[in-house]
Amino acid sequence: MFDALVIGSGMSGGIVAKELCERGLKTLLLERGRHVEHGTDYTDWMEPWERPHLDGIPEEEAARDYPIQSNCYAMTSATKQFWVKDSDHPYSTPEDRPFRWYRGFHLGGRSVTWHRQSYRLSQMDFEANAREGIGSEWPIGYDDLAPWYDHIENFIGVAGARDGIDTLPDGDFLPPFGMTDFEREFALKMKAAFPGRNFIHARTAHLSESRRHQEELGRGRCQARDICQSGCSYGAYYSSLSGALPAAERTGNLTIVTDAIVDSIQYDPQAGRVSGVRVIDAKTKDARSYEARIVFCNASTIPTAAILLASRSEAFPEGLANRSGMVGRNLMDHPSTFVSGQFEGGPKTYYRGRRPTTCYTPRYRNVTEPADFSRGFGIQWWGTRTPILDNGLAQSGIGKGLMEKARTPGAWRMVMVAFGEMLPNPKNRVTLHPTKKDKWGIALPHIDCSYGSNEQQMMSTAIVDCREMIESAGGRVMIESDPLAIPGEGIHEMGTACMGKDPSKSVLNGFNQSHDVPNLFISDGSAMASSACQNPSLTYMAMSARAADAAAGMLKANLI
Amino acid sequence: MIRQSAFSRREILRNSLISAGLVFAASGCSEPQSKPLGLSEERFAILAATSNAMLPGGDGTGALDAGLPRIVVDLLDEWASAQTRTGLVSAIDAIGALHSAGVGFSLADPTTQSRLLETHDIDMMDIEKQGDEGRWYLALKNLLIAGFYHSEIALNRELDWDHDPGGWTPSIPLTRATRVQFWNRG
Repeated sequence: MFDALVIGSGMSGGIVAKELCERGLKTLLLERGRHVEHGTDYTDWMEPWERPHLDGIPEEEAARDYPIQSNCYAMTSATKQFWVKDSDHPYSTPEDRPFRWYRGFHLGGRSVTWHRQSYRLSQMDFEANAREGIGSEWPIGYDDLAPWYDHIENFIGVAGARDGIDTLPDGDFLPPFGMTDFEREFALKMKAAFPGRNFIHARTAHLSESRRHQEELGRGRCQARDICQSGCSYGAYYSSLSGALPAAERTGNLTIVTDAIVDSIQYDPQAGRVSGVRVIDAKTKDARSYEARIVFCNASTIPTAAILLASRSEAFPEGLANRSGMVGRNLMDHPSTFVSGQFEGGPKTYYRGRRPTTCYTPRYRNVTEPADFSRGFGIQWWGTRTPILDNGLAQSGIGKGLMEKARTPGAWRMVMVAFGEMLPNPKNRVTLHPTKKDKWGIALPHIDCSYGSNEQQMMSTAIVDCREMIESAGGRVMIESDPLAIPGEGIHEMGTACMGKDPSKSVLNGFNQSHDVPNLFISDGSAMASSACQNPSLTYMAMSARAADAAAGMLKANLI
Repeated sequence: MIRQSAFSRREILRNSLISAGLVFAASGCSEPQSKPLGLSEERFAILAATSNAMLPGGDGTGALDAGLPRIVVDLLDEWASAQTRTGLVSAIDAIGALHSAGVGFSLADPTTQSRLLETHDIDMMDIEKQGDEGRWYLALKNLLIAGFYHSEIALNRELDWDHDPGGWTPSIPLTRATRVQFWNRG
C-alpha cells in the first residue's frame, strides 16, 4: 500500500506528487497515457524544413483521427504526439451544442503543451460568487492562497513585472520579456486614453533567467525560440516533466506508472474512506488495483468528473463524493474572441528572437469601468510586423515584388485576444453516456455545455473595446472574430467538482478535500468554484500545493 | 475588414504561412479517398513554371533553387486530401490554359509566363467574382509561398532564421538590410 496515490501527471497532479513526496509520503503517480522522456522525446530540434508537410497534419488523417484536436493552434506535425487521437478517445455532445475538448494523454499531460500564461486570482475573484449569489461560494480567499502562489511561482519561475494592480496581485517574478517599441508606444497611448485600464507585460512560466533551484533540476534560461509545444530541451518553460516530476523523483518517494487508465476509485464503506483505485492497462486492457491511504484525483476537469461518476457504490449510488449532486456540474471554459488591426507609421525598429509570450491588459470591466454584464475579461495583445497574417503575402502580386514584401518587415499590426469569465451554471455538465463505451469498456463522457447571455454580452463588449483601442491608437481594424468561440476552445475547462462552503452545494471543502470522503482530494481545474478570467493553471498549481500540504498534515496527525 | 466566423486560437496564434494559406483547402476536407501519385509531366512543367514566375530566382534565391515544385508534389501526395488535391490541380490546369499569341503557358518564355501569371493573379484575387476557381488559385499560391518560405535555402537566404536566437531583444534598428524573422506567430 502506498501512502498516497495521485491520478494524473499534468499541471496539478505533478505538483501534488512533488509536494507529497517532499513531505516523505510514498506516492504512486498514475498516468493513463504513455511515458515521455524529458528532452529525448521532444521535437524542438527540428528545423522548419524538417517538419513534415510544412508542419501540417495530412488532411485525411486530420479528418479521420483528429477532427477535434487538429483545430488546436498548437497541434502540428511536429507536436502531434502530444494530442490524443479523437478516433481512439471519443466523447459525446448534444448535436447542437458542440464542445471542443483538447487533450494529451502522456506523462506530463497538458503541462507539456500549455500556453504558460500565469496570473493570480484576486480577492475580487474569490468573492464574486458570494457577492452575486451565483454558483458555489468559495471557501477560501486570496490570503489563503497567496503564500502558495509565492511557493509555486518561485518553483516554476514566472517572468513578469510587479505592476501594483489589486485585481491582479503581484508575485515573485523573474524579469519580464520586454515590450517592443510599438507595444510600449501603444501601452502609453492606451493608458492616456483609458486611465482605468492597465497595459502590462504578460506573466509567463518561462525562465527569463534561472535560479539555482531550477538549475539543479536541469532547467536553463529561455532561448526565445517559441517552439514550446514541441517540448523544450532547455527546460526553460515549466512543465511537470521539467519541474515537478524530477523534483519528486529525487526524493526517492515517487513511483510512476504509465498506461494505467483509472476506471474507478474504490470506496470502503466500513472505513468510510477510499482505499485505492481500479485501473485498466491501456495496452493489455487487463484490470488491476492499487491501494493507498489517500487519493488525489487530478485527472483534469472532465475525466475527474467521469471517474467520480463511474465510481458508484451502495454508499454513493450517484457517484463517489456526489451526495451534493454537483459532480459534473458547472463546467466552465473561457470564452475568447479577437480583433487585429494594422497601423501606418510607428517606430522604425524591429525585434530579434521569438518572444514566447504576449502583453496583457487585466480585467477592467466591473473594476474601473462599468458594464451591462457580470464579471469581465482580460486581453492578451501583441504587436508584430511580419507580413504573413491575413493572407498578406498572397495579396502582394507575384515575382520580385512579392519576395521583397516577404523579406521586409511590414506595417505594425496589433493582435488582441480577449478571454472572458464564464459564469458557473449547473446545466453545463458532464455526465456518463448511458450506453456508449470506449475501447477499454469505460463509459464515454457526455459534455453538454453552452455559453449564456452574460458571456455573449461580455465578449461582444470585448470586441467593441478592442476595436476602440486599436482605432484610438491610430490603427485600422483588419480582422474581427465573432464574439464567442465554441466552448472548449479556451482549453481552460474547469468547475465539475467545485469547492464550496456548503456541502449540499459543492463537492470539496477549503482544502480541496471531499465533503463526503475525508481521504479523497481533488485539486485540478474541477475544483474551481468560479473561473475568473485569468489563465487558470497557476491557481491549479497553488491549490494543489496547498491541498497536498494539508493532506500530508492530516495524514501525519491521523485525522484521515 | 475580414470577419472570421469560426475563431479558433489556431488561426490567430498559429498563423503560419500554411495555416493562413490553406484555410479554404482544409475547410473542404473530405473523407479519405484514393491516394494521388504525383503529377503528370505536363502538369509538373506548369507547376515548375508557375513556381518560377511566382518566386523567381534571377540574381537571388528562387523557387527552383529551393526545389519548390518537388515540395508541392510531395504535399499533394502526402498532405492534401483527394478533394484538396483536385482543387489544387484544377488551379494548375487553369494556369496551364493561359496563353499568349497562340502559345500556351508552359511553352512560353519566362517573361511571357510572368506576364500571363501576373494578369491571372490579379483576376483571381477578386475572390467574390471568381468563386471556387479564385479560392483554389489562392490556395495554390499560398502553398507555393509556404513551401518556399519553409525551405532551408529560403529561410537562410531570403529571411532571417535562427533556430536558437538565445534570447529576446525587443528593439533593434530597422535598416534596409533588416530581413523578416521567420516566426509563425509573427
